[in-house]
Amino acid sequence: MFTATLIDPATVNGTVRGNPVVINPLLELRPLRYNGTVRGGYDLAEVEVVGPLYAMQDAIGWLRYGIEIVNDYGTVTWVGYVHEVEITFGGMRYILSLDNMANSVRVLHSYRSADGTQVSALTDAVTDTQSVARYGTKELVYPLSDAEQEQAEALRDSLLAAMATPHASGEPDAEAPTATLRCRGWYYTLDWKHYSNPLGREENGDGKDTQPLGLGFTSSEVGFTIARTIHDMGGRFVNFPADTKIRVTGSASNNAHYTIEKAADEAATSLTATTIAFEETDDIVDGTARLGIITKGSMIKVTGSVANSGYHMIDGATETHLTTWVGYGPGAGAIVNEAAGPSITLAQGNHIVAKEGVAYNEGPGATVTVACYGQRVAQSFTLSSPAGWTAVKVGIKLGKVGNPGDNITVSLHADASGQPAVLALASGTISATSVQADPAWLWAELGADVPLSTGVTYWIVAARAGANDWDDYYNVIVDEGLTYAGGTCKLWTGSTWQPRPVDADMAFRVWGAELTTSQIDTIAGEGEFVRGVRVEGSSGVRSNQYRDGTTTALEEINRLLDTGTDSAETMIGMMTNDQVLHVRRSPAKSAAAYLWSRDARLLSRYGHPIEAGVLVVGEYMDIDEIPPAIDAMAEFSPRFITESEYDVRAGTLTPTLGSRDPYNLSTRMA
Amino acid sequence: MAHVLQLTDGTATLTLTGGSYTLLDYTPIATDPSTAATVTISEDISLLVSGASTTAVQASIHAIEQMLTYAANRAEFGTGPRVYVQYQVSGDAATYRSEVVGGYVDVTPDAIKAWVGGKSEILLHIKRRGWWENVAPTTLVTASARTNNGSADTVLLGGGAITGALPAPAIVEITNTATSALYWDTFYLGANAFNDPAGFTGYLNSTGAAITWSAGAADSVMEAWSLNSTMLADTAGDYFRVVVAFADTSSGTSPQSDIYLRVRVKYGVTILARGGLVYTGPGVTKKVFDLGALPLPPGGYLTDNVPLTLEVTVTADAASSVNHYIDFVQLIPAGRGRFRRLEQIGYAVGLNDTLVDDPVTGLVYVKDYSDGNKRIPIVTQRGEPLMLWPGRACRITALFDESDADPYNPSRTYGLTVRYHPRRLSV
Repeated sequence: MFTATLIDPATVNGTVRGNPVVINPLLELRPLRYNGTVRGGYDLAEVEVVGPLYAMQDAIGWLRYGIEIVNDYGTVTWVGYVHEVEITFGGMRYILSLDNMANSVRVLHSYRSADGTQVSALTDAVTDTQSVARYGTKELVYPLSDAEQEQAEALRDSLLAAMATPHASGEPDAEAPTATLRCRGWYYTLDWKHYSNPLGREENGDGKDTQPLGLGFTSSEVGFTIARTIHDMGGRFVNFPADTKIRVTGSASNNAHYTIEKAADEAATSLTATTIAFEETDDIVDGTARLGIITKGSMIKVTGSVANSGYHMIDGATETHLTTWVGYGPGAGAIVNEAAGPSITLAQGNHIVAKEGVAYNEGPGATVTVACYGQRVAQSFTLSSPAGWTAVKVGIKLGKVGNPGDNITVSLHADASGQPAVLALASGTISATSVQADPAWLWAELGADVPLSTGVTYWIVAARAGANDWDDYYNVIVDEGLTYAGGTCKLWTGSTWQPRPVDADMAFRVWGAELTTSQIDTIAGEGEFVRGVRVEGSSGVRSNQYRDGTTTALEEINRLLDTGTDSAETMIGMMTNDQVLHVRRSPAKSAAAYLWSRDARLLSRYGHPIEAGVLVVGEYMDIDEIPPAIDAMAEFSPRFITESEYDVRAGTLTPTLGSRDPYNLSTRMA
Repeated sequence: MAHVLQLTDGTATLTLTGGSYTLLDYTPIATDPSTAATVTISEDISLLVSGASTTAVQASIHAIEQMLTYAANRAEFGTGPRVYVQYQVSGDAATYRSEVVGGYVDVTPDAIKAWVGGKSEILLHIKRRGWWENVAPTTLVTASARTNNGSADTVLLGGGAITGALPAPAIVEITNTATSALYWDTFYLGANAFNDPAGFTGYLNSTGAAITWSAGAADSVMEAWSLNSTMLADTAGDYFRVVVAFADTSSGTSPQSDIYLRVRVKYGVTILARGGLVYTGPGVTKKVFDLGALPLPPGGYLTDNVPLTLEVTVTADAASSVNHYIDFVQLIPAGRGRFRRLEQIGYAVGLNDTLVDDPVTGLVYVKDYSDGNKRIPIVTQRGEPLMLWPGRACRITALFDESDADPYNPSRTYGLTVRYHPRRLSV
C-alpha cells in the first residue's frame, strides 16, 4: 500500500531536509495519483485524507507542509509540498490555496519623467514576517503602468494586506465529506522567488550626441590665416563639427591643436567664365553677376589667369565684385589688371574658424594632415556590480557618414595612468556593412574572455580599421548629459589621449556570459527550498547572466533549460528526493533504458517490471512492436519520455512521449 | 471442553456460548488467501437468547447490538475500541479472533411470542476481517542482543516457529542497551523470508580506501563489490534496498559532506541498473544513506548468473582526495512487508527505552522505561509493516543512524524483540 508522510514545514529549507510529522493516527493519507516531468521532476500529486470527519479538518493546517509518497518497496516515489487543501464538509466545498498568496510584495511601475522619457522603477519590498515564517517567502512583483512611486507603494501595501495569507474559496457541494491534498513538487517554489543578478552587465544607456570616429584628411591644399581660419581648397572641412578639436600636422608653421569655434558652412565650389576681369590692386569682377558663390573670408584659387593665378583671400564679396586681402603674404599677391576674355576658374574650398590663434599666414602647398579628435574613441568604466565577472562582448551605438568600407575594432583595455593601456585585453570587430546611417546598437564579440574585477578601471576603445576620411567615417553616440558615473570619455588625437572638448560618456554595453548550466546552478541555489544543485555535464552554451529581478527563478531556469546544449540535446532539470535540482543532458537515444511492451506496460530494458510507483521521466524507451510502415516513416522508436503519471489505485504508469513540435523545446527529441 | 464464541471490545466480553446465550449454529467462512488481507466476510450466527424476563432478554440482545455499534464506529471513524469475535474450538487451547467491522441482529418470526417465556431466537449478522489471529501473541525472539554494525544487526527466526496460514505483521521492539542518551533517528527494518534467509545476510563489508575525484566529474567509484553467483541466486532478481553506512572519522573531516552518492550494478563496463542521486547534505549530519532499490540481478534471474559488480559512486562540485570510510553496505529486501523505515523525531532516548512498531494497533512509539513504560508518539512510519510468513524462516534486520554530531556508531548495542499474532484463514 502506498503511503504519504508529511514533513514539518518549519524544518524544510535549503539546509536541512525536514522532520516527518506524526499526524492523528486515525487519519490515513492515501496517494491517488502523481506525475513528474523533465521540467522540475516531481510535478503534481493528489492525496486523499481518510478518517473521521473531525480529524480530517487537521488537513487545513497542512498547507506548505512537505509531503513524501512511499511505495511498497519503501522507495520515496514523489516529493513536494501541500499547495492546496480541499475539504467538502457541511454542504460546502472549501479550497485553501497558496496560489494567490504573496508575503513579499514589490510593484514594478512606469511613469513619464520630467524630460518626457518613460521610466520604470521597482518599489522596495514589504513583507509579512508571520506569513514568511509559516510558509516561506513567496514574492510578488506586480506591474503597474502610469503610476509614480507614491501610488505604487500604496498599491504594494494593499496587495500585501490582501495576499499575505492563503486564499480561501468555497462553493456549495452536497458530496460526502472528503479531504484532498493537492501537492506540487518543490520545483514550483522556484516560482516564488524573483531572481536578480547584477553581474554580467555594465552599461551606459542611450545618448543623443555624436562623436566622429576617424574623421580627418591629408591634403596639400590647406591654408592658414592669422585670422584664425584654416582653409582646405578641397572643401574637406564640411563634416568637422563645431566644438570639436583637431590636430594639424605637416604644415610649415601652424602644427597645433585647434578647437573649432565655427564649423565650415559651405561646400567646395567653383566658377569658370570668360567674363571675369581683374582690376588692381584687389578687385575681381564679373559682369554677369555670378560671383555670389564666393563668400567673404574664404580662400580662393584662381587658375587660367596670366597674372593673377594663385591663392587669394577674399575680404569682401558681392555677386559682381570680389575684394581680396592684399596683405595676405602667402598668396599670389596684389591683383594686376587683366581684362575679361580668357577662361578663368575661381575655386573656393571651405574653412573653419579656430578658437585658438593661428600663428602664421600660410598658403597651401605643404602636405598637411588634419585629424579630428576621435581617431579612436575611448570610454572608461568600473563595475557597478558587487563582484567581478567575465566580459565577452562590447556593444556601442554607431552610425556612419558616407560609405566607409573599413570595419570597426572595439577592444577592452586595462587602465594606464588614466588612459587606455597600449595593449588590448581582447578585441572584437563590427563589420562596416552592419553600420547604417541611423545610429544603432552593434555588438563586438571579444576574441577572448576578459575577467573584470570590481574597483578596477577598464577602457573600451573603438577604432577604425582603415584610415581617416573626411566624408566616409563613423559617428559614435555619446551622452553629453554625463549620466554615467563610472568613467569618462577620451579621444585619441593621433598621438595622445585627450578629454573630449565637451565632456561626454560613450553609450556602451559590456556584457558577460556564463554557461547556462552554471546560471541554473546559481539561480536554483537561491531557492528557499532547494537544498542543492547538481549539474552533470555542461550545456556548452553561454548567455548573459544579468537579471533585473522582474522574472522568477522558475521562469529563468526553464528558459535556460529550453536552450538545450551545444549538441542539440535537451537539458533536463529534475528535483531529487533530497530537494536537489539535478541538471543533466538527455541520455543518448541509442541507450534506451526502458521498453514499452505489447500489453501497454513500461518495463526495464530487459523486459522486467519496474518498481511500482517509480516515475520514469527523461529517458528513452524502445517500443516493442511498431508497424514497420510507421517506423520506417517516422522513426518512432525509441521515444523520449517527457512526463509520466502514476495512478495509485489502478497501479498504472502512463508515460507521455515527446512530440515533434519544434517549438516545444522540452520535447523536441521525439 | 465445548466451543467458546465471544464478542469483546477489550473491556466487556459477551460469551455467546453460555449464560444467557445459547449458540445454535455458526460456521466460520474462509476466504481466498490472496484477498484475505483486504476483504470482509459476512457471516450469520444463530443464537437463542434467554433470560428471567422480557427485559432481561432485551438487555442481552441490546448488549450485542451495542457491541456491533462500537465495531461500526471503529470501522467508519477509527474511534473507540476494536471489537473482535473470538473463537476457541473445543479441544484447542488457543483462542482466535477476527475484528468485527459491522453487523446487526435479526429476531426470528416467533421471537415476540418467545419473549414472554424469557427466550428469543436471533440471527446475528456480522462482517469481520478475512482472517483469524491468535489472541495471544507469539514471541519469536526476546531482547536478542544485537549490534548496529551491519554484521550483527540481523536475527534469524526459524521457519518452524512461525505458524498459521497467512503472513502476519511483525511487532518489532528495539530496546536501547547502549547508552543513557541516544539520539535515534532513522531505522531501516527488513524481513527476508524468500532470499535464503539462513545464508544471505545482505552484508557487504568495506575496509575503507583512498579515493580521489575531480570537481564536477561524472561518477567516481568509491568502492565496488562483487555479487557472486551464490549471492545472485539468493537475491533471485528481487528488489533490494542498498543502504550504505559510513564509519566515523577520527580526523573530524568527512568525505561524505556535500557530495552526491549513487549506486549501480554493472556487468563489465555495462551499467545494468542504477539508482538516483542521493545528496548527503551540506554538513556531516548523516552517515547512513538509503541509495534506493535495485533488482538483483537486474538482467533477469537465472540460477547460474555470472558475477556482477555493485558500485557506490560519488560526484561532487568540489574535488577531494580522501579516504571514503564506507563501513559497509547492507542489502535489505524491498517490497510489501519486507522493508520499513521508521523515524524517531524526538530527542535523546534513555537506557532501556524501547521503540515499538506495533502494526496490530497501528501505533509506533517509544516506551519510556524511566517513566513506567509510558508511550511517547514520536515515531513516524513509512512503508508497510514487516510481515512474517508461516513456515518460512525469516531474517530480521534492524539498522539505525542517529541525529547528533556522531550520526552513526557501529558499536551501539540494542535488544531486538519480535512478536506476532499468527494468522489463519480458518479456526
